[in-house]
Amino acid sequence: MGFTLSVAQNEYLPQGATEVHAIVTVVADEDTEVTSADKLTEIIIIDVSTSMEGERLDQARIAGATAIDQITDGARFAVIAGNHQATVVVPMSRADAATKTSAKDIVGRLHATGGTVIGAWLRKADELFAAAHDGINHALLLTDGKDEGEARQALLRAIGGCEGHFACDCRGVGTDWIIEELSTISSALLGTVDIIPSPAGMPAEFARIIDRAMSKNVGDVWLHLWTPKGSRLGYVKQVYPIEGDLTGMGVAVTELISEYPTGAWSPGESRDYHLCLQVPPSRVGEERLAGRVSIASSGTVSQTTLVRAIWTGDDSLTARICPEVAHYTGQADLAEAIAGGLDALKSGDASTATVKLGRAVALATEVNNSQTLKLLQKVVEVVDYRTGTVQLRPEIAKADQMALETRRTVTVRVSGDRGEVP
Amino acid sequence: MSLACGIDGCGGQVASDGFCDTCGRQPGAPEPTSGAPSPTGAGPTCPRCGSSRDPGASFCEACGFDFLNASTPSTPVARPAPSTQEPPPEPMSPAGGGNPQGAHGGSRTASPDPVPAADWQATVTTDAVWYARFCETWRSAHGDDCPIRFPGDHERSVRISGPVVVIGRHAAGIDLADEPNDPAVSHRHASLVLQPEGTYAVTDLDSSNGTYVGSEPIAKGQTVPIAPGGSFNVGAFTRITLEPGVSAREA
Repeated sequence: MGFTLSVAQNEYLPQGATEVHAIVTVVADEDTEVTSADKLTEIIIIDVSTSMEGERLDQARIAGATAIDQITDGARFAVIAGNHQATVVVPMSRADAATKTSAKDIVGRLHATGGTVIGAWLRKADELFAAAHDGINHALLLTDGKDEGEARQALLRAIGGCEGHFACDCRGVGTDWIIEELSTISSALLGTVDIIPSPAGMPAEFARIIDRAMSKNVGDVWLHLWTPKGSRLGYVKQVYPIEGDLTGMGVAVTELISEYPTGAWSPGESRDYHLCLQVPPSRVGEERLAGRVSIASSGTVSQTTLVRAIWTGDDSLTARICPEVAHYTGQADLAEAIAGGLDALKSGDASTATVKLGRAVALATEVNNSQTLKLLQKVVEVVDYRTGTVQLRPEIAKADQMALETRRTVTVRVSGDRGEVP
Repeated sequence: MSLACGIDGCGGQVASDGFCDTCGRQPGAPEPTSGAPSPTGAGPTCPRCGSSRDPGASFCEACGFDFLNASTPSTPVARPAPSTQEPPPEPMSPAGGGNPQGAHGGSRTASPDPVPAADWQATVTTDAVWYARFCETWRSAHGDDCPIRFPGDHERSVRISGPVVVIGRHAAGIDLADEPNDPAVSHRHASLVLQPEGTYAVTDLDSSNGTYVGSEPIAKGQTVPIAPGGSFNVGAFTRITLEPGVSAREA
């Protein structure tokens, strides 16, 4: 699959400035080539701890069956039932009518018992993927509770061991799970995290996730970045459709080239990245290339796009604001204001929470992020959108608070139009 | 990439986009550097064999030299030296057993190889002796048998050129996800870095299972020169042997 890259930036810097910002848009070609299902491997991990007993497990059984139905014939799949240990209830098999029927039968008979040791589930999934053929590996992890019975370090080690081996979308049902635990997994494993407030929402969400996973036709895609000698990387972040910091995930290819993992892509998929580069200062009138960006996948490197720096004494040039950079900087501030506001709310500091969530409302209005605004409105009553004058709602449902926290990093593009969120 | 940058003593080379590959500046644009050689696009002869070249040709008709991608020996400026001090290339004995490597061993290893930067051939073979060792390591680490099976004898050759060749699963340089597909190789496993003397050195890219020269793993950040005919091991059963390409030997 080919990729097309474009860059938005103000390349003009005043004398002495060294920081260059650019938004790089990457679009995967609409491929004519049909995804070959045998490249795809899916593992569904369902929490079967005691707390799942009742409606949660009833819906999880239906959701599991729905997910299995969505798996393309020819792809490989397995199901892990997770509690204090990880049990492979459906061993890795090639999807066809017979294997799917038998898998659905098994999932329909899952019962709840025991604790929640998420690290064990991840290790088991990693083991199954290692035995699978090389390809596009994806896992869906569902839990309703907190990771227990293992040290935090053990969970982190388990996550580290899976990095680069498979992508993992994490879902928490109800409000007793810990956002930070699942978001740590999903960031490291290039997936998403979200809340399913009511158990009845599970089947539709599972179908959506699997459908999306089955649409991927290239895995192992890397952002390939050259920077000049003497420069320093501020950060590399994905900023659309969801924010995610890739800075710490870079692999040095040479002294001047690093690659950052972006996971698997579907045909026609489009994402934006924000690069912040510190380049050596130059004299007014000089130009320097700040970066060359391309996409490396399946043994090929895409066309290269250039990030430049031109030093000038002309203030009218340097004062220009690149709309894309400003837009995504605004959304990063938005996510941060929400996090700060919710932290204050949790610690009982209502006045700080009001100020920060008000700031969030003003920013969401400015960047035209209507989805985030809608989530904010469940937590605050808005008096004035532009100024961010708000009042905390007297009763805030925990699910609404958790939805705002998990989805605060979902972004929109400059035009405000909303792409499909993975 | 034949034009030397030269701005403020920069030893980099100018890429096809007109910017220096090291410092990012654009030599020639505002103040033309005096005495700089003409860009590859304009050179009338092949920098390796001296044959006349067609304007617009990507490869030399006579010797196959890659005008667009290869480092040219005519460039007066050496590539930037690696950051760590290294001994000159030494002969690397093959990692025990396997195919005999003697064909080019003897005479070439006495002094640094004079072959200029050109294409090389990387021969990727399955190495039963290495595999046995890998399985032993697996057993002592995991307590059970290694799930990876030895795929039998395989051999294929990959032509490599350019300053850096990345080795890994789906890597641009040497793709080890190709048959026989070594599952113990990382996505970005190792890279070959062209040395000023025209040979390659291997460095491990923080891979899961390491890169071994002889039986020694390459330490983080270390670069180990590979002499012509020398080899190294990656993954569960893969051995890579480097030899000068046909055209490089004739040059």
